Amino acid sequence: MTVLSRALDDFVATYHAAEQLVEQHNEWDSKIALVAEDSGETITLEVEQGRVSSMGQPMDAADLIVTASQEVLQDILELRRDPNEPYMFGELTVQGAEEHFMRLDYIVTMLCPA
Amino acid sequence: MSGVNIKLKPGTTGGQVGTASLVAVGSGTAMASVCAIGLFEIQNLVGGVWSVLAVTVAGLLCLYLARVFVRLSDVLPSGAGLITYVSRAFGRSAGVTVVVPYLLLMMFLVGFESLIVGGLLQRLAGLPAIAGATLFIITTWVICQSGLKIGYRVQTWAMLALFFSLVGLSILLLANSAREGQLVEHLWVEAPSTVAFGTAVGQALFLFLGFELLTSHVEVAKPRAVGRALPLSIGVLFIFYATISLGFSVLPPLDGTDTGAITIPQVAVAEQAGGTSMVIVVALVCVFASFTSFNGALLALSRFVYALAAQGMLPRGLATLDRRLIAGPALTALLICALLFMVVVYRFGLYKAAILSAAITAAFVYGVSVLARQRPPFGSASGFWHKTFAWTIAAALFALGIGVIFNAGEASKQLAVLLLSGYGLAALSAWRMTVKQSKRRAASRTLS
Repeated sequence: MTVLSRALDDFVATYHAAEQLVEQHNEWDSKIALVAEDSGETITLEVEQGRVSSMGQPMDAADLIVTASQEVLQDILELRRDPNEPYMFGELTVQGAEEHFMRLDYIVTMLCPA
Repeated sequence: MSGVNIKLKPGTTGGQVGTASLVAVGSGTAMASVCAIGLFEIQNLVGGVWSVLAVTVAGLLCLYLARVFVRLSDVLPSGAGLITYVSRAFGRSAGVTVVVPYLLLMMFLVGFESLIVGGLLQRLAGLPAIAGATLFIITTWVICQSGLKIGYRVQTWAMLALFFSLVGLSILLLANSAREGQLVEHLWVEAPSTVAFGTAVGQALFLFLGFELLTSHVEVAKPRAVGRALPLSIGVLFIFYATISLGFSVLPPLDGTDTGAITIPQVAVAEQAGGTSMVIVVALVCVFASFTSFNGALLALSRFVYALAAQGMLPRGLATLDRRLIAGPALTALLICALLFMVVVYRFGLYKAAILSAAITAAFVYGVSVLARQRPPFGSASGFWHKTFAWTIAAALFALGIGVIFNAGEASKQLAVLLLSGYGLAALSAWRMTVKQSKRRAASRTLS
């Protein structure tokens, strides 16, 4: 298991424990790919009705592709930063409809310690 | 993104917007009603074909800038646009200090644009201009809060209606003037001084202001669409402004078109070319075009405000989304700002200062963007002459901005207040951000 995969596991566990937050997104379905541009690692997750239904499955096409350095992705998944900060300053880019990124960003922001 | 095998799903809204829609949105954003007033000021400053020449010089500069933004967007395909490019090249503090005033002073233009819409509504329905302006801002806010975002197709139609109505009427005016044997006399006026012409070019940059915001659509655009749309939108804007500028040159003195404190030259063009019915058509087209631009701008800015609040640069309470992903508190904060700026522009007559401050911050942002293009991660191994040319263009842009400051005339004091406020607030935000980052790094070191 890689560092990023472990961080994703912990992130998903923390998210699922926040039941109110999961409930807020119960209309959300999405396939998300997180790409570490420096190491080349890609981790995937599939969201169905607001819950992460699978992780690490092979994926040809995604609704949202998030690209950043491994360090930035790890910081986000370990809730040290929300994605908007590196996004605003060019350290993270996204492809896909705005809705998916905004949901992901909102979830991380809510889970991040203030 | 090299090495990435995952593509976007077909049918997703990402990767679907084509070149034509982007050209419409990019040029539509710049074709604000307030630009007609800016163009009218240029016509009054230099007159005749000299205003077209000033627009041409500014257009050529912007064509070069379009190439710069294509490169910046290709390397960093981020919807956050300007602030990401400058931040990656020069650091986060520089990004905030240079770009935030540009966005902030655009809000004064929003206030000004609202007053023009108020003037148009006064012409259409007899409402006092300030009441019409308030109604426009609040109605747009209500529609944004409902979650309705004007689609690309509607924005395209709005832009096309504005383009063909004003260009068509201007051509009609020119044809009438030629028939009366007065065209040459109107166009071929005495050459302006170098300083006046330079000021006109600086002000003409304002006309293209906002074209670069097209890069914010990169996340949903088809591959290479942004790269094609940027220079094409400059071409569309040049034709638009050059033709209307010539139309303005043959207008008689504007006596009967004052609505409140603002003279609306596009109404004068419509009146001269087609009478009352044409005024109604042009007024409706302008109001609709302003609405579509303001709707998109308000929603985009609300996301930016949300992001700044999430970073602690603005009150944290603004970093809230509802179930429909609308940043409600951020939108409300923008409503208050828009109303406040509109009242301030109206009360203190900041019309010229609002235009000039936007032109100056645009010149500085564009100059910095040119320099950013030469730095990692954007700079390629370009030769001496390429770098020298880029530095020359950047210096010319800075000089134009400074030239506008020194030739502001009666608007100098107001301009100084706007610029100092904008850059002061930005510097304060950058400082707060730096302090917050330092605290976070210190906390991380303590934990490890």
